[in-house]
Amino acid sequence: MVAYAWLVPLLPLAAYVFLLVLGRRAPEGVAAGVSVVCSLASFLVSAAVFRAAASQGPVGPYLFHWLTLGSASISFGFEVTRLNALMILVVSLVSTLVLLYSAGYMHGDERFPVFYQYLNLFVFSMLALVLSPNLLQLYIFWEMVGLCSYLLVGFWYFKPEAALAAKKSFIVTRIGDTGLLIGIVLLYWASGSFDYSTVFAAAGAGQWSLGWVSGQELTTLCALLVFLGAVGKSAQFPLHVWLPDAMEGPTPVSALIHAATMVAAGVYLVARCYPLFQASPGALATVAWIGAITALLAALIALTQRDIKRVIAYSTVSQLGYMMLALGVGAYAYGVFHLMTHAFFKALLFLAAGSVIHAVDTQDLFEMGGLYRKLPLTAWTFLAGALALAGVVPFAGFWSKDDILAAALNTGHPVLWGMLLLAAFCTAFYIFRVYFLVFTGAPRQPERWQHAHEGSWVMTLPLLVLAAMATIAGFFNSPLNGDGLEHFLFADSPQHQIGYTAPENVPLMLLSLLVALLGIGLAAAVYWRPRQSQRPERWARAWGPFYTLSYRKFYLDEVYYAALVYTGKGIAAVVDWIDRYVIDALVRVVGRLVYSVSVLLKFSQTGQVQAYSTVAALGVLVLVAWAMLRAGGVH
Amino acid sequence: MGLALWMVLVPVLAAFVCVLVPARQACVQRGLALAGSVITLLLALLAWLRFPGAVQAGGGANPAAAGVPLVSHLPWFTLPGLWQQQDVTVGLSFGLDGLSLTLAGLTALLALLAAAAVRPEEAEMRRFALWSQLAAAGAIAAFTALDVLTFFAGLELSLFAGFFLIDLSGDPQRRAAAVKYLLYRGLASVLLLLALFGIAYGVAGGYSSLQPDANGNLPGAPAFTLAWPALQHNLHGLSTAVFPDHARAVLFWVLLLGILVEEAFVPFHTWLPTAHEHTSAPVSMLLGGVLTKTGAYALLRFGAGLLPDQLQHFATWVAVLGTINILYGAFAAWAQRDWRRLIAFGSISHMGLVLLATAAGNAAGLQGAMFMMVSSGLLTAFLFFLAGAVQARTQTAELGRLGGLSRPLPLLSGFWLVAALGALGLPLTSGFVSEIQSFIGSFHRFPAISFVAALGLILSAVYLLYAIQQTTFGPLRPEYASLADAQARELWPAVVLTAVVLWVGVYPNGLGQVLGQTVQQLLQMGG
Repeated sequence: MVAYAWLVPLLPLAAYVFLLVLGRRAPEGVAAGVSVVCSLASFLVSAAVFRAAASQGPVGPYLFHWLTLGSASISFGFEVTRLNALMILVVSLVSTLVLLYSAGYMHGDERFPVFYQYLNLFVFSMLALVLSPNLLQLYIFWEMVGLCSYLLVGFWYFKPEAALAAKKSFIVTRIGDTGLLIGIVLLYWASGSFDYSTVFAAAGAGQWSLGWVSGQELTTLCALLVFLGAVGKSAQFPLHVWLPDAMEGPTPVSALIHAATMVAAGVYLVARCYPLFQASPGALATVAWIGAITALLAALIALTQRDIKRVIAYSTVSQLGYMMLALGVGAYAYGVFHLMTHAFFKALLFLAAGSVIHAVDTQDLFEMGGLYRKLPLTAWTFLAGALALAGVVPFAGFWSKDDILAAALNTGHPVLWGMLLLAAFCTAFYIFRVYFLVFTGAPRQPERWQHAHEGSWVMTLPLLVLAAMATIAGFFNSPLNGDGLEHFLFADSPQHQIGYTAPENVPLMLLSLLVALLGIGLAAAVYWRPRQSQRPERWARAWGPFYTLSYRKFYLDEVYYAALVYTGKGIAAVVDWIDRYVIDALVRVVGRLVYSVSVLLKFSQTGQVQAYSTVAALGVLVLVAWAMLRAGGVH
Repeated sequence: MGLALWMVLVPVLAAFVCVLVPARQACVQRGLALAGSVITLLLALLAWLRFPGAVQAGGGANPAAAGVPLVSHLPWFTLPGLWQQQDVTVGLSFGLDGLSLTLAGLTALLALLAAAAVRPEEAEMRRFALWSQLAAAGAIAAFTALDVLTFFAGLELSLFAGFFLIDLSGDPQRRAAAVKYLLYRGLASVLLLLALFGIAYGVAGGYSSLQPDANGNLPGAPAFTLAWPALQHNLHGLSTAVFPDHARAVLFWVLLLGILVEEAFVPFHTWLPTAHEHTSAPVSMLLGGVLTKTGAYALLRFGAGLLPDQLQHFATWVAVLGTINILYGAFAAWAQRDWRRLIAFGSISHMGLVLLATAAGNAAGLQGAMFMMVSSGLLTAFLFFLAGAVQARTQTAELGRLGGLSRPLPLLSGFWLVAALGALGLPLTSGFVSEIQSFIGSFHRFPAISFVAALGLILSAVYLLYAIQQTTFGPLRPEYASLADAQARELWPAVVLTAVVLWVGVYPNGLGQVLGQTVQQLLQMGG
């Protein structure tokens, strides 16, 4: 079965090509139907591959020749490992649900078939990314998912904000991607190959060098460059600024690309390259610290945002930070586990938010309220997602987040643990702030509330499936299931070589649960009861500067704009000035000079034979004189 | 056999027929230009098919064509007593090795697409057909010539044809731009001529100064030759005692200077944006796509091919020059407000990578440089084609006056995005394959310089996406609401270019096998 894993990305590709041929006039039903069927088939094949991988372990790679470089050969192909078997399962499941949901959400959009083209291209690229057997192929699809993100963020191209956000997302991630590309090139020269296995074998041995850097330093340099790519794609601090802006795209895109799959690719990359990171303690520590800083920073920003999608987007940034931290402290399995549970509950939150936006046609939290009575199904499913995100037992996020917290403390990182615990408190607060503002209380804008209604079954069915997953997916690696995911991931490495796992620690579990409940309680106290509706404003006033700092996202956008964009534009302007007024001016001066000399010479061209022959005679005289004096006579 | 010769002759014949047909029959003229290019392109494809077999069979025994798989040889004229009373015969000799074949094919392809892109209102068809065919013939001759003098003949033909092409547009400043072009590249030709004749005389002089061995035989003193395969072979065996290093170094710098002017490298580049700004799109396609690639060709053929030791010795200089070009071109492109100038500076930035990769001197770098020449040619032509198609509708190429074009022109906007993504090196396009190979090569030899040069990867995304955002994204401007999107007649060049760009990007080995033959040959010379 594993040998047919190429079908997994190929089915969405087939759907893409089919829709491309049909063009932009394809009927909505055909576009959505073909896409959902192909994606569903892809999910079924993924499930079969997953079963096979669970029993057989890693298989592959299957390769064919792509390019010759001197004596080296670069191949293309696919491989199935335990990690990517899990990834294709999650990606194809979420993709299928989002493709189904989009049929309702995008209904009536004039570029409906184009939207499905892009989504299929994305699903193909994402699946091909995780099935790649070497770093170069990973990079190729890494850029392809970035392209799809660009196209989909800018899908409503006529909105200037969407156009700006699309460009920003591409360029900011491109900064990380350039680091990744350099890292891949250096790894190639150090190990002689792009293949994971060869690279990691060389990294593990540590006996490598490039002439100008060697051994441990080379390992650390390469790991950090690869991590830079992950920082860009997974929106980690300091390159996280693109993800909240990317919310300008349609909400299904936010759910699929900017929550469940593409942004998790950075986490997948670090997990896939884990042997490289393990060979460098410095790189691992960097991953852990960046993860913790991101988790806390984004959670603090999410506290005060007014746009429902931006709150969830910052939440995504924050949760990706948790995953990075897990990988950084050595808890490989927990990072992957959180990636999986997060994919479900965050896709759910976005799709539920999309259902709300679809119903009331605004994204401002303070224009909603009381929607529980209009959208009960959305409210219940959102609640499941919120509980999972906040980490309330027994929802999915509880198990994975708790594992990460325990791992941070047990591996001797109390400061990081403290940061995460604070972030967990913020998480519970901000997501229930959203819940109470949207679904409870009185409608703040009755006319919007009046027209609100649930979407059709294509929108509610994915919500229900994802709500079920957000509720139960955590049991996959809970003690109740005997830590099934760990056993699945580590089955081929008996001594748990590729990462730390911790025994369950009940007091810690209770502590993190308590923190989550405190956050929910505070949110309820501030936002739930209508008679306390004045309180949020008072809070904001009391915390004045901090509130502003959070609301303005710590001014990082402004700082970057001043530091990078202005500098770059300044250099560009200087270069352009030099080009016009120094180089080209010099050229013109030389041109004038030549011209004026020729103007002078022009006067010698009198056209009079007498003048010419006089000059010629003079010349002969001079030559003869020179010959007599110098050479002693004329022969 | 004879394929190479016919690839030069067919466009010349087409141009000749153009002269005979009355100018008012514009359709016939266009048909002639298309037919000439199609036949040349088919010849190139035929050579492409025969190429692997010809490589296996090995080059001919003739030293003037050693190592070149597909050769056609004709004596052309004799220069009596050019060197020590020997007569030197200049051959009308053309050969197709991997690099020559690829560039000749690219020339034919772009000549075809440019002829399809001409708008009757923009340029008189007969003059365009005539000069574009002659320019193509000249460029193909330069790319395939086995003889230095034939190379110059081709170069000069394309130079003058290019001058008349630039002069075709209706722009008031076209004449000044054309003269600037002519002066710069004329200077470049002089420098290249000096360097190459210097090398030829240096080799012949070097051999004639060798002492006879014990048996009184001169050690294989070859006749004076102007054929580069023979020069390459002779140079390879010539010690620095008789052709001293300092002489080679001087010749190398003269050659490099000529290349810098020819290829419009900073600071000798200002003629290129000016020329593109003041000429019409089909001419820009030819000019930016192939006519300016002769400098990079000379760098690989004569720099890396004839003076590999000097190139290695001054490699750091060349790499720094390349990096300056990458960054200067990218920043300058960012500052431009006119698409045509932006594309011109972007191509300067791309060609800077060719310098850097060639300086690296390894297989990846040389192959990357060749891929980059092809990719830059394709994508530069593609972008100019689109800028021209849009300009014909909006009457402007200024970023500030465009915007929201995706709505009235979805197809053209889509292709524009494809071309821009290719130019910024998106994977599965030719741009990526070129950049990754070039950087693989350069990071091996110049890690520090390459780190700086890699900034160009970010900058190319910045200036291209900024320009795209200004052009096709954003709210629709009312004055453009009723523009008509491209029809089939206008679209097929875009489809062809997209197909080729994707073909190189998705399956690079097809092109890599052909270019690899030249790479291997150059590596043998250097090693």
